Amino acid sequence: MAPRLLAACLLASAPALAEPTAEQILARYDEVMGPRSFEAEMAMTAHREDGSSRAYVMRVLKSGTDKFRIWFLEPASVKGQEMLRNGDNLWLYLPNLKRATRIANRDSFQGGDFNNADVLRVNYAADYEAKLAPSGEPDTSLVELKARSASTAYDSIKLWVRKADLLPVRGEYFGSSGQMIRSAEFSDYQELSKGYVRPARVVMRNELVKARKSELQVRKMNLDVEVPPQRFTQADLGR
Amino acid sequence: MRAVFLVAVLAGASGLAAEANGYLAARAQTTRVRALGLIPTDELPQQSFLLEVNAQVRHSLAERSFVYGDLSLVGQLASDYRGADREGSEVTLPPRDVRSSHPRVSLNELYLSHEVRPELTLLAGKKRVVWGSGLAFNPTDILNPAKDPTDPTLQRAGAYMLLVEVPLETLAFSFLASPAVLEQDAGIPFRMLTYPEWDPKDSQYHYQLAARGYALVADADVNLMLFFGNRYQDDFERKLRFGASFSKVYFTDYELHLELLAQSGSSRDRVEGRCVRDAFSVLGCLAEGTPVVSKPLLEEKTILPKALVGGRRMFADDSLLSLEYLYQADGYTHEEQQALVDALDLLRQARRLGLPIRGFALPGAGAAEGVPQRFSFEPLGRHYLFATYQKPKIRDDFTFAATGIVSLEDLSGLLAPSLSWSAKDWLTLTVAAFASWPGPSGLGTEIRSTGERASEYSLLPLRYRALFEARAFY
Repeated sequence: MAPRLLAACLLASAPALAEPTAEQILARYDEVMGPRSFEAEMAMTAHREDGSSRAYVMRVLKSGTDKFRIWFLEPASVKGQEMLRNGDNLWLYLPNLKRATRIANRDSFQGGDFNNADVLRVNYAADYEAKLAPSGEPDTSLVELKARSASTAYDSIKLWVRKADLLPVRGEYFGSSGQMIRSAEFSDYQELSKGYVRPARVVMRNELVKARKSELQVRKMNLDVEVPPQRFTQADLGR
Repeated sequence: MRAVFLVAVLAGASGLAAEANGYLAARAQTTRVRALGLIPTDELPQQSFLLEVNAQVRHSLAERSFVYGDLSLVGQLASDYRGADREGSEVTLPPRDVRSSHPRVSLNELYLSHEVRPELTLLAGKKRVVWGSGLAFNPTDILNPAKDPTDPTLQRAGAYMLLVEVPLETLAFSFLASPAVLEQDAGIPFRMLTYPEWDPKDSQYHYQLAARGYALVADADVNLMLFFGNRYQDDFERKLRFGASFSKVYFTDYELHLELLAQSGSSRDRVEGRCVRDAFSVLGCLAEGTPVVSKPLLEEKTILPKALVGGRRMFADDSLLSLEYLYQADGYTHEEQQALVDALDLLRQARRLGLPIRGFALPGAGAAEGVPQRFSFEPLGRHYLFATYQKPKIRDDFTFAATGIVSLEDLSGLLAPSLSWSAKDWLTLTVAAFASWPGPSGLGTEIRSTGERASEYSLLPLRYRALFEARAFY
């Protein structure tokens, strides 16, 4: 609740105040893109080089800052697969294997252009140090993020947000060599839950293979959920 | 009749429930058998076709109660049998009706799960429960049918059990009781726990009890297991075993895992070497009442552990390399392997004399419970290495994988490469091959009647196998 209050105060007094700090922008990003608890249905479409695409539908559950669970609902070939994040731990449950195996944050999310951390770890304030930089684009602010440790999915990120409400507009994601790996466009701003507005569509482009991109569309989202901690345990996978 | 009943139950559940999925798999397989080898190939077809219809149905009874079924119906066609005649020449055998090729039902899982409260879940039925962290092999898995190390996802069958689970935030406790299936037909069990009066093989209870404690400690999965069983899929009586496993990701991309099963003694069959040097020594042992094959370590008090240590490297392009080392203290020594080869050699000579003697079931020769496996792994020796490499997203929808299994004692092994194409998001096409190599002749054993050398994987009744599989998901 505290970040939401912070953002509300920040926005209400925006005309009278100076530009928000990088840390405030980052806190707002985490609050919008990774609310403390929610249950959502999302669809991810991966567009490939040959013009074909693959679509996935999933149910996502989040609790606190670092607990995520995903159930894949479609297509039939991945139905029953689950992913779980608890802190820095990530597991993939394969119904054919009947057990969970540990996976790395860097692994690509279902072979698309998002990686696991993009979907299962939205906690930039904890993972990155932020500083403001000249935006170069009207009505936007730019924050540059630098990884606090080598375990993050990206070495650095450039994130543009709207000055009016600090909602994200665009992101550029860099590897340790300094090369841009991916870029994201945020759009389709919707009130998905009462008083909660966020970009419902994120398009992640693969900057190494330009013809590739993946879209993540939030179809519905409920912030008013109470989830027992057992839903985020390895023992619960496959149930 | 039972199969029809089960299909009807699952189909009925499917009609009521919102969730039903599965697949239709067709597998065409060609095998080059080792017709002149030590293991008879009379019942191993060179050409076979398998059709599997799988249904997985989940029917919710209440918010956290459900029935789940995973059933496969398997039909097979088999032809082209090869064997050896009395002169030791390879010949084509007449068509035959082989039991392992009969249609079968594989009831992989069927259970009722009820969450009494978030901290207490009850389960009754058949389920595949795997607590160990090994990928290709699980030393602590003494409940389920063995998996295929060249593709562990193919074995879906579990064990019948009552399971109580107590999941907490970073801890979980499990307690299970599993009766052994003692009589079954075409995959459908009809006798558990004790033998029926009309087939009284023994009067004992056949069961396994197990308890497991799981902890997420310092970002590592740690399991401690305790087993107590009586004649459950082996000849151990009132046997206590201890298991442990560990898994953790280091330096972002490196996963390390360990799995250990500690037990005293071994229920493995062993051949008495002095009884199989020639036909006269067999007769001598029979005359003095010495069994040629026995389980001499069954009552042994020494701890004979099985341990697996392995690691996985996950690369930035999503490819994966897995290396695992397996040690089993009750594996055959070189002398015991030589005794086994001597026995197989004598059996082969006896068959060539026209005596109606069948061979032993050795790796790759038998059909495990569940859906027929591409390859079944029953390690004879003590030291093994498993290596798996997977490279997904080759031209988007192609995945290359290769698994190698090496006996580190005689350096014989098996290589199983495969290429899968996800042609549609509901259709996967796979070509795969299996080829064994014999290892350096100096490390193997000797076939005394011919002077040839033998190794663990040169004993396999197949030289190579190639298969094509189409799997359509729904």
